[in-house]
Amino acid sequence: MLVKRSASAEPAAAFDPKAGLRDLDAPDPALRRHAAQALRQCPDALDELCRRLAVEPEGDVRAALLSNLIGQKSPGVADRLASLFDKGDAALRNEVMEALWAMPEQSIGTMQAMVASPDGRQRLLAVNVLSEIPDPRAVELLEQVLVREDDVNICLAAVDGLAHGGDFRSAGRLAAFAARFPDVDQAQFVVQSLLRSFGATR
Amino acid sequence: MTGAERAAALALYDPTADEYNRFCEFFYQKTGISFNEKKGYFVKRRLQERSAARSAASFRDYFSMLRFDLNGVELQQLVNLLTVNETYFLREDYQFDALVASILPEIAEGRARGSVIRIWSMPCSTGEEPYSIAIHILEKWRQSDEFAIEICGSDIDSVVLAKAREGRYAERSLQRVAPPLRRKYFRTAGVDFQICDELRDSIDFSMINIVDRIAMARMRAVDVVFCRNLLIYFDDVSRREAVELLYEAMSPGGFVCLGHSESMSRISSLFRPRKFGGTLVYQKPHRP
Amino acid sequence: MKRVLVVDDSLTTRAYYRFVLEGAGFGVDEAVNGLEGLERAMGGAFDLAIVDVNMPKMDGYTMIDSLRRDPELSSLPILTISTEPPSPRSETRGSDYHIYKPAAPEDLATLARLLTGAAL
Repeated sequence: MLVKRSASAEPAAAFDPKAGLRDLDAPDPALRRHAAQALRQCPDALDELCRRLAVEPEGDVRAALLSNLIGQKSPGVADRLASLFDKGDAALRNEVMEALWAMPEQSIGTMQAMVASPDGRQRLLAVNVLSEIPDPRAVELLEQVLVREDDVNICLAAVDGLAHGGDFRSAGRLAAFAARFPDVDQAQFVVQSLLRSFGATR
Repeated sequence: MTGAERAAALALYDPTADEYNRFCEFFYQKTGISFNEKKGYFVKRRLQERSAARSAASFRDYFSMLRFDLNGVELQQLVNLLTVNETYFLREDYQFDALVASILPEIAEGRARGSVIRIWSMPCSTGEEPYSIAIHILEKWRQSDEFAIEICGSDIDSVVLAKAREGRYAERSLQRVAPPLRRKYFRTAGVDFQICDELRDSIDFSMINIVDRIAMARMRAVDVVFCRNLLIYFDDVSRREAVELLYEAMSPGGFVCLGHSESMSRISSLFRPRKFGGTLVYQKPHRP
Repeated sequence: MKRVLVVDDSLTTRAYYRFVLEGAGFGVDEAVNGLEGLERAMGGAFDLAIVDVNMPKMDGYTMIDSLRRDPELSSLPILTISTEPPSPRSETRGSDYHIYKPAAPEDLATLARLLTGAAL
C-alpha cells in the first residue's frame, strides 16, 4: 500500500577534515566514498586524494575521488593525475584520461610534456587526452605527432583528435602521415576520408 | 506564405531514407539521443525547418553544415527543438510495466513484509509521472499490499511542484488513461480532473535540484529512480555530478530508469545495464 | 545479412571497420565504449562483436565478461583488437580471436566471415 514518506534523511554530521583524511583508507568503501566527497574544495587533501586513487579498488570510490579532483582543477592537479597513468590498471588510466578531459585548459601543459615521453603508452595517453581538448594548441601538438611519431597507432589516435578539432589547415600534416605509412590501409582510408570531409566545408 | 506554400518549400529539404539514417547515426553519436520510428515524421519536419532557416541548398547541404559546425551551435538548436517535452499520464509506460513485472519483484525478494520500498520520480514536473507510477503499482502489482510503498516526486521548479501537489489536470493529460481508471482515481472538477485525495495525500513532493549536493542528501535508500529526459539537458560535468548524486541516494541494488532515448553509457559506469523484456534500466551494484 | 557490432572509442577506426565490413556484405552498428557495446548487444541480434580493448567507461574485457555471463549473449562470437597481446582477466571464455592494431582489411573481412559462419 502507498505510504507517504514522512521524514528526510538525517543531515550529515559536521565535517571534520582530519576524520575525513583518515576515512580515505577506511575498510568500508561507503566511508571512503563519503570521505572523498566530504573533502571537496580542500587543497590540503590533494596529495592524499591522489595517493588513495592510485590504490583504490572500488569504482564508485574512485569516481568520488576524481570528482573531487576535477572540482579542484588546476595545472598542478592535472600533473598529479598524469603521474597516475603508470601506477594503476587500464580502468584507472581511462578514468584519469576522462578526468583530464574535464579540465582541458589545465591539462595542456602536462600533455605537452607527456607527448614527448620515451614511453609509447604515455605518448598514446597524451594523444588521447589532447584529442578531446578544443584548443588550437592541442591541434598543433597533434599535428606534430603526425609528423614525428613512429608508432602508427599513436598517429591514428592523433588523426582522431584532428577529426574532432582540426580543419583543412591540417591537410598537409595528414597527407604527410599517410605518405609515411603507405602499407597501412587504415591510415590511407582515414586520411582520405578526413581530407574529403575538410574539403566539403570550403 | 500559406500553409501549403510553406509545406511545398519545406519539401525541398525532405531527407532521403539514407540521409535520414545517416543523420540519426550522427545525432546519436553526438548526443546519445536516438529516435524511435514513431518520431520520424516529427524529426524530419524539424530538420526541414532548420534547413530552411539556415538557407541551405538541400538537406545534404544542411547536414554538412551541421557536421562541420565546430562550435556546435546548430546542433544545440536541433537538440532543443527535438527534445521539447510533453508530459501526460502513463507516458512511456513500458517502463512501468517493467517496474511491476520485474523490478519490484526483484526488490521485494529478500525484503521483509511491511518494509519500505521507495520510488522516486525526479524530475516529477506537474506530477503526472509519480501519480502514474502509483496507479500502475496499485493496479498491477500483486504484492503492493505487502510493502510500505513510498512514492516521492521532486523538481527544481516550484510552480510545477505546486501543480503536482494540487493534482488537477486537463483532459489532455489523461489521454492514455482508460475510463475505468479515471473513475477509480480521479474525480471531475469542471472540465478538469482531480486526483483523488487518498492518492494525492500519499505522494511526497519536494523541491530538489539534482545537482545540489545538500538538497540531494535529503533522499536516501531509494530503490527505484525515474529520471527521464532530464540529463540530456545538462553538460558533461553536470551530468556526471547528477549521476553521482543519484547513486548516493540509492540503495545497493536499486534501479534507475532513464528516458527512452537516453543512455548511461556516455555519462558514467557507476551503474550496470539490465534488460527486462525490451526495456533497458540501470542498476546500482549490490555491495558484495 | 549478418550484423556486426563494432565497439571502439576511435571515431576513425569505427568508420574504417564499417567501410571494410560493409564492403564485405555485413551490416554494421557502432558503440563508442564497452558500456554502450553491452547495451547495444543486449538490444540487437548480432552475429559478431568486434571489440577494442582499451576504452573509457568500460574496457573490452569487462564488456566481454558481462556478455559471457548473460545466457542470451554468452555465445556471441567476439573478435578483440588491440595493440597488446590478449589477456582476459577472468575465467569466462573471453574472446574467440585476437588481432593487433592496425587491422588489415583482409584479416578483418576473413575473420568476420569465419566467426559468423558466412561463406568465405
